[in-house]
Amino acid sequence: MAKNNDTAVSLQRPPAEILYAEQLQRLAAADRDPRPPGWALSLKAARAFVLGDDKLGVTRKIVAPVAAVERMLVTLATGRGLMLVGEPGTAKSLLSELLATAVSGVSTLTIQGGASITEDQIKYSWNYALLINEGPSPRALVPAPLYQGMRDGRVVRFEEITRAPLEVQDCLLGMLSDRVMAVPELSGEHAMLYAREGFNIIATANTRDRGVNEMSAALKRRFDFETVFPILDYERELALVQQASAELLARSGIPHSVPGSVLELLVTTFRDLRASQDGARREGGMDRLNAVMSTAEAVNVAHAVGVRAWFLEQREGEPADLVDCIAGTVVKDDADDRAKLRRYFEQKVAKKSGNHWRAYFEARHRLP
Amino acid sequence: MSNAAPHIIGVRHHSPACARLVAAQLRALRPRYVLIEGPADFNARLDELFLGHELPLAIYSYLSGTGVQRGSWSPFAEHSPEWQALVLGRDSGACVRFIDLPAWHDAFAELPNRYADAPEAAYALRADAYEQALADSLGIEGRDALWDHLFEQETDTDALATQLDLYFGHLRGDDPGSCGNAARETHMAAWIAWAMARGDGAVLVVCGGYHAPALARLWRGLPAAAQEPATPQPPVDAALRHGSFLVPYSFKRLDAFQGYASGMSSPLYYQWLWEHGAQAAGLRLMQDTAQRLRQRRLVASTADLIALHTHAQGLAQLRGHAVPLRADWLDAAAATLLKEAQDVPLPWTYRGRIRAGTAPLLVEMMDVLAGDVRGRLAPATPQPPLLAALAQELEAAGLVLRGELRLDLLTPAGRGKSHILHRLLLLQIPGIRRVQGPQLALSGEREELWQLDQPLEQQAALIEAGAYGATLAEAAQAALEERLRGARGDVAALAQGLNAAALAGLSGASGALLQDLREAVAASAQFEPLGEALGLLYPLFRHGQALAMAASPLLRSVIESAFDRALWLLEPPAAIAPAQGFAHLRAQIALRDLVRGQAAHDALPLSVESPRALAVFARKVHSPDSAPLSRGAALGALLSLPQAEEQSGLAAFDLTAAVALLRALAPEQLGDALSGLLALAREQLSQREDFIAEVDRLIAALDDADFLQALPALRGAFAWLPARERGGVASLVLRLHSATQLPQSALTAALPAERDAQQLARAMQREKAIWARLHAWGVAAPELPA
Repeated sequence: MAKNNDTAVSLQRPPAEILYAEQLQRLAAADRDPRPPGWALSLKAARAFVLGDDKLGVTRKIVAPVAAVERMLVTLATGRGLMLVGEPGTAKSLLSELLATAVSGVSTLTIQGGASITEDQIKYSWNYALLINEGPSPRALVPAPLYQGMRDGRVVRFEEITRAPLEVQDCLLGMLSDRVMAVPELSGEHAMLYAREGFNIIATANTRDRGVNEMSAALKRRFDFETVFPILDYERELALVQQASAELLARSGIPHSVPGSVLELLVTTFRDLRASQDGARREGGMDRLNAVMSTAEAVNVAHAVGVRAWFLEQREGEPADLVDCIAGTVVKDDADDRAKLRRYFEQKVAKKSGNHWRAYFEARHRLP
Repeated sequence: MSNAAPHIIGVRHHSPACARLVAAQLRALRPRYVLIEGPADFNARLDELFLGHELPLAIYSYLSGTGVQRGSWSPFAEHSPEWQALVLGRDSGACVRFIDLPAWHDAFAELPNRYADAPEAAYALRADAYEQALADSLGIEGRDALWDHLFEQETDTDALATQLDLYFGHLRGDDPGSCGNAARETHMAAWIAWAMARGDGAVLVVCGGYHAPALARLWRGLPAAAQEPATPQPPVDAALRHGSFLVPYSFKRLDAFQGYASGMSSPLYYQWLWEHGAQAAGLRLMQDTAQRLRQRRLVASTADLIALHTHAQGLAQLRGHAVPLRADWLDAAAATLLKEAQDVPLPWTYRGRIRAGTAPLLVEMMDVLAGDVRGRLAPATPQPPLLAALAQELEAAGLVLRGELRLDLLTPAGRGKSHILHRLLLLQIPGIRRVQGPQLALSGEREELWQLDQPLEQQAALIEAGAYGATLAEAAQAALEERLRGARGDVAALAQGLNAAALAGLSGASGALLQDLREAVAASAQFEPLGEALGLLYPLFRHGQALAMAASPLLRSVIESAFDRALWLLEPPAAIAPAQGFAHLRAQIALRDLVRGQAAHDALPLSVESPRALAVFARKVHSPDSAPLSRGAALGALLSLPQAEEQSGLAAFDLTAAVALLRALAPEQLGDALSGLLALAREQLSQREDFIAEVDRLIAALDDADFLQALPALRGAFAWLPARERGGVASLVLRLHSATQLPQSALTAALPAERDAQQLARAMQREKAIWARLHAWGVAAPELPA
């Protein structure tokens, strides 16, 4: 990931459009294909932005199936809302950020869903000094992300939409089907805001929140659903955990990365406990843990293993460290999960062969 | 050029684009010889293929004898390149020949489908790697999507031919292939050499893309024979039968080939593609899917269909397809019709059976694309071998399919006849009905009553069943495998299926099926049904000699995985519903018996780890959250396994452990734990005076209210003892209470019919309370009545 300019260096986490500004420019310059109305890039260039293009020096930014990314882009291009659903930690937000950047060049029109969110945080609110002084006027109106997106023809991101109360979710209905927002306080041309071409919504929702604020059928109908899976391919997931944890450890100033054998234990354990089914390596018969067993979490655990081993004893991570870290960072205080993890060690780990597996099994007494 | 080299077209079987290419080449070239990858022993009977059948059909080749059962299909649909070569070659008056080895040859030992994508496992790996690299660089996912993208678009046939050559050339590389494939290729090359040597016209070869590069290399090195290459003959052996026959086939079966034996899935879609082109096939797909979804009351509104259509067009554009292809349509459907998060990947992104948890909408869609077209043979076609084999078998056994038949299962002849009839039942042949007989294969009943008849539809059903195999045993085996697969992890259905297998005397199974069954069992969610299935299957495995089921690999596989899964499910604490209590104990007994049987019986080793079972039992005993019934049973299991102490390395379990467990429980749990203990360790506990004394003391220590609560379960616990042992316990109790003057029956006699123990106990308690109150007020007799 090239650091593109000074801004990127000094920000803690620069948004995609700043971090990859140079790549976006290159893509736009080389882009010969027709662009959907209001889009910053053509569909192909947008796909290349997300999944990488070696010829243009565009990096791959996420591990996701090509077909899925293509479906998402076409959904956005055909003007339907896109709903990304999946387990926590499957990089839904990153995906939505990248898609918004690719389509509109901006990823910051973001609404963060939550129990306390209200309609005016989504649509617009007022500058009260001006409101009192002048009465309702376009000048006194403070646009929120949805208003800005419709006005400028940009993609708006709605994170964790199912955490928002139902009445707030439903205020999207009109905007999604009629593409118009009424501003009853204003009159004349300002009373109706018609969405410009290029406006759309990418929402994300967490399957663990299923049933918290179940979306209405009417709203669901206006979205195309796309399930984001944990990385299905073992090798890819292992490589990703290896790379990401090495980066984190380097940033923490630790000279060792976590050894491959320990990472293998980690990734296999995570995949088993996720009850993932990836054909060849399928063990079957595992119960899913309540805890989140995402790749992101695996990276955190790998980082913790490295930190623990180095700062406590100045050595590389070992299987025993992994047992401690999994117990602490993943299982937390869910008794049910603790029992499942213990059962996993007693019954499944016990059967695996290899020295590292043996060491892992021997360290099971460290489980809470 | 046309005379210098043969035109070898490497095809993917069942690919409409390849079929189109073959047809175009045939028309352009007008070859003298059309050589097709197919069973050469069928050459003499090629005419049978053109009797006016309804496709799909297959040439079924078999070899059967003692210890060998082999069957292989060469399926044809209308959009198969081989079929087009056959039909058009014949129409143009060319000399049409099948040039591959007969399917009974050793080369086909592991290959049930001649027209598989990858004719060997090693090659499948290589092909996967190549296709993965290709897919990565093109940004496409999945072999089918890649194939469609590369070849199934309507392109110019010359370009298509070059591309196919290049593609298959890369796929194969310089790989010499396995022995079997080398033998096949040598044989095919010999045919090409023969045709080229004749020199009287162009030679067109249609073969799998895998073989094409090798054939192009090989034929030149072979001597030009004047005669047609001889078809190898199987070893002369009186017991060995072999042959090839036409059988009706179905798209569903074409779709269902698994693993590296698979070809193109969704045959109906490709049939449309062949008949009407991609545009019309897509519309047909949308139309039929919408219709099916509405029939099934799944949502597919007009708005949804508009969105689907738009989406598919968009995807096609993005992916550079002139018209949307199969993957575009399917992806569009997934994007627009699904309104929930999915638990498993979309079914067209992986190969093999659709995974459990797939959205019903997608399952229906894949089913629509597979189609339910069934082939039908023309009336004059020679009958499949099954009919003759069956007639022979019936005659040999002296069975006539008419009237009522009573069979004695204890005689070998009776058992043999019963097997035949049960196999016919498995094939669902009409006219065969079992009126009476044992439900379980290993039950003590020894008579069966059958009602037999030969209705008109029997013949038709037999011809259809002929597609399953050449002999009754083979066909029934194939039908059984289909049924077991169909159970989809429902353990009860699985056990039923295996029971049917035992009744029909079928004990073998293919490796793929075993793997399927393992996975199915590993996915089952409840302990009790698993345990009960174990209780049914393990005795069959151990003692099924008479049924030829002892040591059956089929049973072994299911038992091993059921054991593994049952231990996994037993461990977590779970409440046991009263109705499940008995089943739970039965299941634990089955587990215990398995461990015990393994220790006692080295002749039939199973790969089950007894120490693990013991460790699970031990953890169960010590798990305070578990149901007392389960804990008691686990302790009982440990007490009744003599090797427990040596193997587990755990603290020894003995009487004190049992007493400690009972003491630690609340009064209402006492009976449950005791049930568990007695159900599993009756022999070890029920005659021990110290144990009975301890139980007696515990019960005596209960106050009246607690006793009432504990009573039903306690009574239930002693019901596990046979009458004689109950008598033993009774005399122990009498001795403890120094009441030896009373007979045992004072304690064990049945209660008067109209009262149950609970009522009696409650009445006694009330009476006592009344007396106590009267006494307190000083109005009662000084003594309480005894």
